[in-house]
Amino acid sequence: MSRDAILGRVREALSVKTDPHVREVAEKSSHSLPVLANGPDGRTQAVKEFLPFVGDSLEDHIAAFKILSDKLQTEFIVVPTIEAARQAIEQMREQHQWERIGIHDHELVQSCVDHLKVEFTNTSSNYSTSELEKCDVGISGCDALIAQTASALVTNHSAGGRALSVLPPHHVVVAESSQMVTTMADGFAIIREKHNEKWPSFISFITGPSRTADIERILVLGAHGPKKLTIIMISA
Amino acid sequence: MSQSTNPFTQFQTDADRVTADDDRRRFLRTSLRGYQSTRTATQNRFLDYESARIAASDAKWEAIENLDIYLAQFADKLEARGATVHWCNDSEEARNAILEIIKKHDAKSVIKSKCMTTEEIHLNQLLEKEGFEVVESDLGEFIVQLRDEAPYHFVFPAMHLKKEEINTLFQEKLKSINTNDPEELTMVAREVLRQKYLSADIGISGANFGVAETGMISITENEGNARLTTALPKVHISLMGIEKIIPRLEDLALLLPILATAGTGQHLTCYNSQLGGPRQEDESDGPIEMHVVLLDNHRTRLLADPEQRDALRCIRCGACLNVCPIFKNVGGHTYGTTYQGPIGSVITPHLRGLKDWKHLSHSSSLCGACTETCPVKIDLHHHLLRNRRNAAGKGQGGIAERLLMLGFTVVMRRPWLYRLAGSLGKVGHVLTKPIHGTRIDPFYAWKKTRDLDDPAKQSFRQYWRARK
Amino acid sequence: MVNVLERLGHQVDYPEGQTCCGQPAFNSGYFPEAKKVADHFLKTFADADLIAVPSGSCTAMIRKFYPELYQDSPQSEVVSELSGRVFEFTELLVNHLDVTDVGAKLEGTATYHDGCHGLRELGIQDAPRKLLENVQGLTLVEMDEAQSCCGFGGTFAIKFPQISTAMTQVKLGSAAQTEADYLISGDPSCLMQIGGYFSREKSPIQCLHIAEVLDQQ
Repeated sequence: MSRDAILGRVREALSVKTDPHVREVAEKSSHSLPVLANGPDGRTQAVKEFLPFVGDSLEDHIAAFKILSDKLQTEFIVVPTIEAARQAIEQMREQHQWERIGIHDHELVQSCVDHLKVEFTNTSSNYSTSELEKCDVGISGCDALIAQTASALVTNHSAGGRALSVLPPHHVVVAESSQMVTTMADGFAIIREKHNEKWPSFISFITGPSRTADIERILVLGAHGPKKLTIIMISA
Repeated sequence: MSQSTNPFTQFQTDADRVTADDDRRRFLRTSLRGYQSTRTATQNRFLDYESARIAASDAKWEAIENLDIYLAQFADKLEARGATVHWCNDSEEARNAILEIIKKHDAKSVIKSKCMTTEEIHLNQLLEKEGFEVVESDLGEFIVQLRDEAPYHFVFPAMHLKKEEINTLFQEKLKSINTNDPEELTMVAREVLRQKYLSADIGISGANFGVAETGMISITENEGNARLTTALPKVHISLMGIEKIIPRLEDLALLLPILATAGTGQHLTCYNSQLGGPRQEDESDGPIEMHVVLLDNHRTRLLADPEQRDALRCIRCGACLNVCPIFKNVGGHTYGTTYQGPIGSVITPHLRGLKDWKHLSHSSSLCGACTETCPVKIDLHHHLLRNRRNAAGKGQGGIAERLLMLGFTVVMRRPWLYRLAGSLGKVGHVLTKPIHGTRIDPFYAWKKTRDLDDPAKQSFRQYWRARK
Repeated sequence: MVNVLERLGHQVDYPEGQTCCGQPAFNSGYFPEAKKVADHFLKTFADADLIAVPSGSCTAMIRKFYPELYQDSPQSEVVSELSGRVFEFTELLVNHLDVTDVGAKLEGTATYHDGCHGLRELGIQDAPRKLLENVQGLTLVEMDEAQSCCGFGGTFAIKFPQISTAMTQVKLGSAAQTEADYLISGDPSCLMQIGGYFSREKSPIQCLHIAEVLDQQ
């Protein structure tokens, strides 16, 4: 079997230890090696200590999220209440003349859109891809907002499957300020806890609207995914 | 690319052509300068980039040095979640495995997101020969596919093309409007590819990482094409080299920002998705089948080299290309390899044979810019030197070179001979004056483009004696 | 180099038996041959307190690559001890002898080219700049990509002359932009490459070794 053959070759190859001299040269550094605990904790610590600092308080996190969002051209709106979120979405509907909206079974999403007079495509159970493709916007929840990277962390549970957040030309994420965390490692920890080893088949960190710079390094938004990303955060 | 069968001759011919094209070289330089400045800014935001880099390379070391354990864990976890794992010794096995899946589903069209490993096994050629429509969905890949070219750079596949050339290409192949505007050109591609997504039966992707702990692949992208490729078609096939494994999910929290910073200068790319299995019972969409094709294709040969196995830690960010003066001056196609630039020059001899590909290790001034920039600290330029040593050790340098080196050693170990050679050099210089500048001048290769000072009238030793 | 060191009050000896450090063979992949040449170097310089080298590249060969050549040899200790006594000229002055002003004078504008070996194998970056900033009458202007390779690379320059020359062409462009009178470097081999190309292209920029500059009074 090829599995045995490949693993056999791997074991044979590794029976000769890595040349310590080469390893040392490869890792030479004026810095002392950071001592990390093995396992998730070590990485979590590394991400906190080495990656960009974004403060400790919620205010710091929101400020950092805002700065990066501006750079990414993510529209980041902080509203005080669900009611204000409903209004913000209603305004967007008017401004962009939404006629069909993709949504899913998600408490926060539902309570933000139930007043809109438009057609809905719900992706929480079997749905038609071509119908979703005709939607003007997809509105979803998320598992966390990551301050360090200005990302929305989604899974197919929190965001109505794999396609709702990428197929329509505009993606709106609704979140609560309690969902704001510092690092991507914190985000993984949330999913780890929530799904307790029964992982969703799809996890994604969404960081800004879809983009490309494949032509002369000139930034163009909306290469294949949404041209526009709006994150509405309700600060309780 | 020239059709020459000898990779070395082809390299020299293509290098001649590109180095003579001042305009294209300037274009590349400008583009890479843009990369350099965004990257520097992003890197400077790190609290401690150097430590982050060490921690990231440490995670990859751990994976590579325990690859048998993590690889098995990765496959078992994935299979437990309903995915099928195919273990392939070489390109042919991988191509056949993929072809079989496609045939089984009676598929007509295949949509692909960016995957260099499919380039390595020449998948498109086979699928097209078998009568399937294969469409590259990454914009850069789509452009080079329309031009029937290989990717120029494994991260920026179409970086060598100007917008005017893409305009002409799109008008010709897609009957698109006449525009040089990158945004309009991108929208043309978006419209064309949208339709392909909706009708494709099979989505083929690569994988940037394979998480052993949870049995997931991780894909990094900006456009959303990989997300669509893995969301819409009913079958998802992912092809990855066995070295892509990392131990834990949390390693991504470090590796993904590092990859983005080094790769494009972004703090994080737009979409970083982890996919573990096909659509699960309680999920509403996604492919009904997920296949992960694991490819060896001589990676274990590189793993067996205790000096150079660290090259398997490569995360394919492309940073070493972006800073490489050779790449900047000969461009990507000249290499004639799947993986261009310093990392390609290091690993290609292991993957495809030292004899035919050693010239890539010689085609370097060993300046070390690659090693300096590598986010996982691969000892790149010293590996080029080690490849040279291995080639010389096998006598691949040829008899003339061996004799030259022998002569060098003989002279340099004997000061009197060294002095004599110096004097003879002076005499020789005078005697060979008539042929200077001609093709039989021993210094022709140098003097064609550069002057060479006449030997000093007085050697330093003579000066030293006189001084005392 | 000798003049500068003596001016600073040091006694300098030039072992007349010296030849080459062996780098040409080493970089071509001929390690055993390089080691034979290195043996000769070790013999010749066995008694020196400090070894001053007017080249970052040769220094890197001795300090960084000799230990690799002698890894499993009985001489490995001798070699590692010796490599601690080898210094590139500018690092010797600035880091070891604590001198940044040698009292040199030179009128004009100069730009400094970092030799790759000195820069990346040895980490020499500030030392030559500190010394040049203190040269009376000299203004130092950084050129674009001062740290990118000049294109020499030993046998590379002969085996791949087109790439090598293209790299130097870029260097000339960067240097010309600064409108400097001099291009200064710490490596004779870079200067041979850069100087050879500049002279062929009739560039008015004069290429100088940093020791030549520091010797100007």
